[in-house]
Amino acid sequence: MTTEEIKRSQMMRAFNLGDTNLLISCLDDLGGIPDLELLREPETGLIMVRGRLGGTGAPFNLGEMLVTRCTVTLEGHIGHGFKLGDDPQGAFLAAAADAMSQCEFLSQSLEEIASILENDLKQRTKLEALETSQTKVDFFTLVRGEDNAS
Amino acid sequence: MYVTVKGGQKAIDAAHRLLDKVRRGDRKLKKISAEQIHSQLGLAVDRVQAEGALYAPELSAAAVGQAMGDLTEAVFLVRAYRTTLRRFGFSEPLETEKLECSRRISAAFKDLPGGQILGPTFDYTHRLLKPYAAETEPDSGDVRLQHYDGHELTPVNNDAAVDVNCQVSSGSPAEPFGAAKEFSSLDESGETASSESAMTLPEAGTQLKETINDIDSILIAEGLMESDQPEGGPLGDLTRAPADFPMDRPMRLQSLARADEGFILSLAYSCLRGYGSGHPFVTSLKIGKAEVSFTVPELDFPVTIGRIELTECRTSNRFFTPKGGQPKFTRGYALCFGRNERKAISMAVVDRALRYKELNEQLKGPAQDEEFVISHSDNVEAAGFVSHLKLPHHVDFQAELELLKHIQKTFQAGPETAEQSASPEAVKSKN
Repeated sequence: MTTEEIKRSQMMRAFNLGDTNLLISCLDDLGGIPDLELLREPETGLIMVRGRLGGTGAPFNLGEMLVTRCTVTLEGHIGHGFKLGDDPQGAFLAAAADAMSQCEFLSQSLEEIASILENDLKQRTKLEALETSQTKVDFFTLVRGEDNAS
Repeated sequence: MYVTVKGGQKAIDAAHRLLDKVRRGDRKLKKISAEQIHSQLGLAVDRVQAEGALYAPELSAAAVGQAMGDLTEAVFLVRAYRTTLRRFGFSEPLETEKLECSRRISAAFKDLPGGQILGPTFDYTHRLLKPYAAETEPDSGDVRLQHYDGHELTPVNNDAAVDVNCQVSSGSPAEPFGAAKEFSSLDESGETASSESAMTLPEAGTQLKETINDIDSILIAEGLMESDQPEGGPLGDLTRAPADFPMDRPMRLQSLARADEGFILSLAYSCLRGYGSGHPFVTSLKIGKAEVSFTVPELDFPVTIGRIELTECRTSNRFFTPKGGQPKFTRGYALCFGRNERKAISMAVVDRALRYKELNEQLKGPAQDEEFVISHSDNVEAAGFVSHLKLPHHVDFQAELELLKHIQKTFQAGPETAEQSASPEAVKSKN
């Protein structure tokens, strides 16, 4: 993967995983979504999720997940969006954001939006991790004192 | 003789109306929403997702409601629904070492890397039934968290605007978008949170998000445990091709992941009681969330498309000496959707039991017989076939009745002729 691809893939991750309401408010602040063309209307379908034998071995098909995908174009740039579950609006917005991020005059703003979404995601997982961390077992060992008995 | 039976339509319509009424229950009570089922009966929803072989929490919750809590019926609804959908493709294999765990325990090692994290567990509860209504609500609003070393953390309001200035402590991966940008704040007040109130995550918290080597990868590196089977031939898919035996391990795992929990649990129990491959150690049991990556056909690189909750179990079992090698621990493996730890442990035990031929073990019980296990583990198939018994068999039964009457008549004629005519050959010739 080139650095450009890594960057786009990371931004797409933020658009796909990020909170839809937050994305809406960010795009509103930017002045809304420009006129886009729908290449592929939001469509709900399946992705077969794969695991690995033993965790790191050969792949196997675990089961499917429900996703909604959407593809749009904006000034020749093609944007893809995916959302877990049945979420046409979310998939459309993610696709729009991906297309916008490829337009030169919008890329900077979309990078910032991706970063906001990313931080929001981090905050959420951090909260989960924080709650979980309190259930960590703190072992202590009892001294039985046999050594001193004699 | 074939008799057309008509006249059921009215009764069927009335039965379905009655079903709707019964499903709704007492109308003085509020109807439960799918969101409530999802949020408060999450383990029922997770079981439906695992056995329905479809990760779709909202849909599965709706299915639980529609099925009045009959989970096998809910699984059936989900399976039927998925057949109406197009498949977009296959994900990249999950990296379960990166699972963001809400629970991670090992029964084999006290001090596993990252520690024993209990998470929200039924273990160590006293199983005392509390009158449901009398149960006190856990604190809502401010989640006042206390770190285990005693210092209290800044209260965090879940619903409040997100504090983007939080400190990311050292262990976290590099900032993805270059240097962290200072977004003054998303606080509605427009004020930037002061650095004191910004939540600083203690180390234990960040550890959960890092990749922690599982204990078995350490044992593998030390040559004490068999390594994972590398990629073999083409990968089969149960949803596209019917089960065929002998079945390879990837296909078996796909089948076990969707198998009925009760069936797999009983089989695992039978193994432990001596009808299988013996008593394993749970080296790691994890519940957590993983990101799913998918390579969009139009793009050449994988993109994260969702985050799903999974349960993984790895076991360590009896040694095996491969040809020209040293004896090593063998392993069982389980992975399934949602929080399903009883299922996952059972699945790992059964996965290991099914490897008996490969590991030169004796056949001691049904849990080791893949044709028996795989053919009977799917509750949609099993329920379908068992349930067909309640459908009209009027004509078949009439035929049996006629036959029995005939045999009885010949019995009355005398024991010798009766014996002859009751024998299968005689019955065949009569027919």
